[in-house]
Amino acid sequence: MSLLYSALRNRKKIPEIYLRGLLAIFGAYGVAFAAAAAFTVILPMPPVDAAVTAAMLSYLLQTIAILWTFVAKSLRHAILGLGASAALFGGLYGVAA
Amino acid sequence: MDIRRPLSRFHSWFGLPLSWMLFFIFATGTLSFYRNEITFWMQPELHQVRQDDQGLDRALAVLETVASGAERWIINLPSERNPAINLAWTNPGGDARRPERKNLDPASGETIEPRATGGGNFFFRLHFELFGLDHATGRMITGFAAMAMFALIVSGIVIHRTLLKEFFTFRPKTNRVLWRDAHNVTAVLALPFHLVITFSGMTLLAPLLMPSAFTPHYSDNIRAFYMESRGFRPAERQKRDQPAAALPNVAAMIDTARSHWRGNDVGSVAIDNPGRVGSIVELKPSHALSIGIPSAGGGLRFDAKSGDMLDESGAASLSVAMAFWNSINSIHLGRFASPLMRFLLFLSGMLGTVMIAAGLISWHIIRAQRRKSGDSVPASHRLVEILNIAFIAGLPLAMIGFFWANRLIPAEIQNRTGMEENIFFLLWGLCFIHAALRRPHVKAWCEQLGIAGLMGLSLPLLNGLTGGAHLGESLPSGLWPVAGFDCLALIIGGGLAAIACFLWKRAKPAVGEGGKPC
Repeated sequence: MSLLYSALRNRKKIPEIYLRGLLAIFGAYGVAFAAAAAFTVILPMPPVDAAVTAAMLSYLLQTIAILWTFVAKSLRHAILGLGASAALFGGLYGVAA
Repeated sequence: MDIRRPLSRFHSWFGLPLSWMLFFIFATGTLSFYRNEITFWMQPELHQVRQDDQGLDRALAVLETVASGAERWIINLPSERNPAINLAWTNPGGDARRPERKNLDPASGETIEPRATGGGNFFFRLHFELFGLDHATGRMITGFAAMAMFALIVSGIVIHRTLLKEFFTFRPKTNRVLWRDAHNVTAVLALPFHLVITFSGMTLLAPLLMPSAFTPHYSDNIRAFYMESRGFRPAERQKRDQPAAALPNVAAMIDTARSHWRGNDVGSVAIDNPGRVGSIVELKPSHALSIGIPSAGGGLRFDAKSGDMLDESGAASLSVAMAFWNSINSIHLGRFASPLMRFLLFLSGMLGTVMIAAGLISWHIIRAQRRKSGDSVPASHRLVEILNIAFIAGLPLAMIGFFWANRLIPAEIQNRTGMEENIFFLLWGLCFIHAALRRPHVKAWCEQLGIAGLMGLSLPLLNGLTGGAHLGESLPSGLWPVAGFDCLALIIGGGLAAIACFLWKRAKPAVGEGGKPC
């Protein structure tokens, strides 16, 4: 509710912040999800090690991706950046698996 | 490009809506470091137990009479976290995860039937499953919240590059910077803890939160991952219906284990096929032997008949990845912690809770002071203030109310556990209503904090009056879970009451002149 109110009061600035927010929540998770899948099949380790290492690396990537959505020059840049990295990791997974 | 500006917008706009949930998770999670102690306090029937060195023999004697045909006995020996002996056993055909249980006084061998209570487990469950949701959804939400918190911490570090300098900056004189400084000081003081506890929150939930890392190897059998990563032995089919044999000499095995573990005490004794041929005894240490080993690691198995040590679980050398994984998870669970370490974890959790609260308060105060004096207060700011009151002051009130409910609801009554929980949610709901209706807001703050403080301060008294061991008993006899709980109740209750007085004193002139306090 409070967010809605603020959004209505500052029509110019706030909606973009919250669009970026949505992108940070779901977009960054998408990147991390693809990255975890790629790492877990690429890493030359026993399954247990590969799984936990991939999960931890994906969390670090997700953090960077979340912050990137806010640092990027425009919303378009943010979407492109996340989309490209998700595609890259998805492709890596596809090749390796 | 200066990335601090966009990051600080992220910090305040992303942080705000999440911080209420994070406050809830941190407050309930911090208490969970002491969940065994809390459960013990909440069962005053157990406070009378005393120690002597015959406890193990008495436990075995009780199990022989009540559980002679069982497949497995488990004896949890007295520790500084729980001075009673907990017995558990699985009858043939019973579910091993839901064993029969009894509590035992080590000094008398009498079994004690304590009251039913949610205990410390209530808060433990709340902190990662929330309420009113199915388990998976709740864990998913808290997992995402942990992710967001991790990003918030990193952004906070980048925003405040001059961390060390800010750490020594504390300006209590002005309202605005007081809370901002409090946010920074508590953040920096326990920064490694904040980073590790949020990151390990995610790793503990990883198979659910980031399934893509696991499914390529454990497609539809995530249990196999848990068994492997936690160092469980693959289940061996035990032969049942073996001929009778003498009970093992557990005391001798305990001596062997203690010297094998270089003095670490035995925490629990599990006996498979007790009193039968082919019986096996497994001893587990009271604390994890090192923070890197898996949760099921460190157990020693003995042949019941000969008393020879068979093997040690989880003793295989660990990869770097698993050692790191186990270490951060151990820290989150406080598995290895000695009393001092556990207290430091608790203290760090408290600092994290205060950090989130101070962040929420300063978000509101900064915007309140930017308003010109004639402006009406925007509804959004009012809403933030109301939620701040109901969470920061109301949640502690409801949590302390939960302990009151534990002692005021009669011990024998049906569905006590549910009633305790209902009172917690009822009190918290009332705090929301009170925060929404009471004006000026500072009165709502003071009243809720004041009531929570008084209720906390009187918990030790309530404990003594309702059958528990009061401080005069628990301190001299070294009943640490109870004495520690009462002392912390005094400190936290006193702290809440002091904040209420502080706020009230400062707001008084403004309220008296009929002005508008924040």
